[in-house]
Amino acid sequence: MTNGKILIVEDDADISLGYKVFLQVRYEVFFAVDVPSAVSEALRLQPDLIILDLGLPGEDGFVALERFQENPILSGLPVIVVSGRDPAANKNRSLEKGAKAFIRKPWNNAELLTTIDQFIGRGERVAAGGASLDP
Amino acid sequence: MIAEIIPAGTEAPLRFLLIEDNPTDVELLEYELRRSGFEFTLAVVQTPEEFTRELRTTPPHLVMADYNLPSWRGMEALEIIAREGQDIPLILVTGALADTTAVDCIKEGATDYVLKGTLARLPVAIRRAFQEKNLREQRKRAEENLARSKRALEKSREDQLRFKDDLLSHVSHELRTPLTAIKQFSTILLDGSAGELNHDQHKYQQIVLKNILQLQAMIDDLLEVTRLDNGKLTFKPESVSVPAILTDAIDTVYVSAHAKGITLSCDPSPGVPAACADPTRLRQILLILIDNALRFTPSGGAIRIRARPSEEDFKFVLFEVSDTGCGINSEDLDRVFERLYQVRPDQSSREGLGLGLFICQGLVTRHGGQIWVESELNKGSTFSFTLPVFSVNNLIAPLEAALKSQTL
Repeated sequence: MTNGKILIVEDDADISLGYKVFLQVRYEVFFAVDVPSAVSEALRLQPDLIILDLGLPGEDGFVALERFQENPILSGLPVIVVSGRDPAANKNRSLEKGAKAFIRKPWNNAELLTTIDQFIGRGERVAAGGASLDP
Repeated sequence: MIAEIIPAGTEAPLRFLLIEDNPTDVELLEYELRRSGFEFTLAVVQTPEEFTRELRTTPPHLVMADYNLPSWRGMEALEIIAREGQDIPLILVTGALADTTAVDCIKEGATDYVLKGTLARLPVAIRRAFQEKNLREQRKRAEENLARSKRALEKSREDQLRFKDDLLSHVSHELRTPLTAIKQFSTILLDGSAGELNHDQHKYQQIVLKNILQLQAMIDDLLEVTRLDNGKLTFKPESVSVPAILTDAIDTVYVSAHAKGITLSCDPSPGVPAACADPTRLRQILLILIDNALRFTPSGGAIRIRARPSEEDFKFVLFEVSDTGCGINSEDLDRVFERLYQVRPDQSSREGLGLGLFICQGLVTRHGGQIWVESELNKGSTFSFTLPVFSVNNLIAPLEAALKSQTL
């Protein structure tokens, strides 16, 4: 029994494994490596939360945020941006594009967990109230 | 000989323009010039209108003007030349002229004057006029070249600074990816997710993690300095409770101070007013100063953090971080706030990039405050800084200063 599904959009295999080992004891974790796979996996899995890197091959994480916002099925999903980029230049832009939080790499596990728990709880409530989204 | 003195870039024949109403004088002058070996054409005008037209259609290399003409004075030709935006030497060729008048004419811009009775001097005056004009043009060109080089130098400096900033922010970002993986797996090993570690393994892994955190702090410092340098530092002043922020800073370093056997005390004076500061930045300043104090204070020492209204200027809060550490010698004392300057305590390896106090100074200055240090060898050091007391005016002032510095 897990606490929910998390889709992790991250192109670095080592970091992905780092997420997996740390998060799989609490959540079901899935991975995408770029914007197109992030959108298709999000639609297929309907995760409770998305962790999104900004520096991705091809289109960057900001494009992913736009794609999520455009899609009525995905627009309500909580997204946490976890990036090595300078928060001064990228945090507000991420939040404006719909992200719920911005965490700097290298992240602190305790901080990441607290943030995830905060939004996954909220995500469940939204899903329960948004039954019309289910086919 | 003549080639040397004709205006640069011109070819013979030279064009002379003469303002003269007396045909005999024209003939005498032309004769004198031919005799001296000049190759030239000579146009003769009598009125300002003719003169202006001639200037526009066939600008001459040199103007010669009689001082006294029936309808105007030769010196007025100078004004016309200037009005037409031309730089043409003018020599007065005149009958009688008082010395004082002659001097006035030269002051007003005539190149020279020659009396009609001594026309033999005219060729010399012409050559000198051309020499002067050539020198003037050379100087102008040199000045233009200098200004161009200066602009190019400034641009190259700006390019270099931008390159440095881009490089630093790029590097500090790229370093984070491998660092993230290293830190994550070190954390995973330490928390037992991959199986229990024995005592030594745990201890060594902690050393790994400690150094990772240090590396992370260095990378953060790099980026911070880039931001300070290019004015992109985010900075949101608000009303900050001084006792609360001191307590918060103490709580953050309490464990490491305790582990080192150093006593920490925090002593905000009663009624210390709220500071006008960005709380994150103020915390950062305090932590840099306290971390430094911890590094240079031996076990059994004490660090005291105090805050009170500044006695010199009641509009500022004075913060002090004092330690009972090794102190700083006078040579180092002048340089501790310099970028990349490091004072290494005995038996200590590198602990940072030498940017901490430089960043501190930058942050305090951005708040409109000052920072300084007093120290006595083997007794300890006190780092003091001031920040404005919170008021609506102070809330606006640093923003205004920041805006000004950005437009400079």
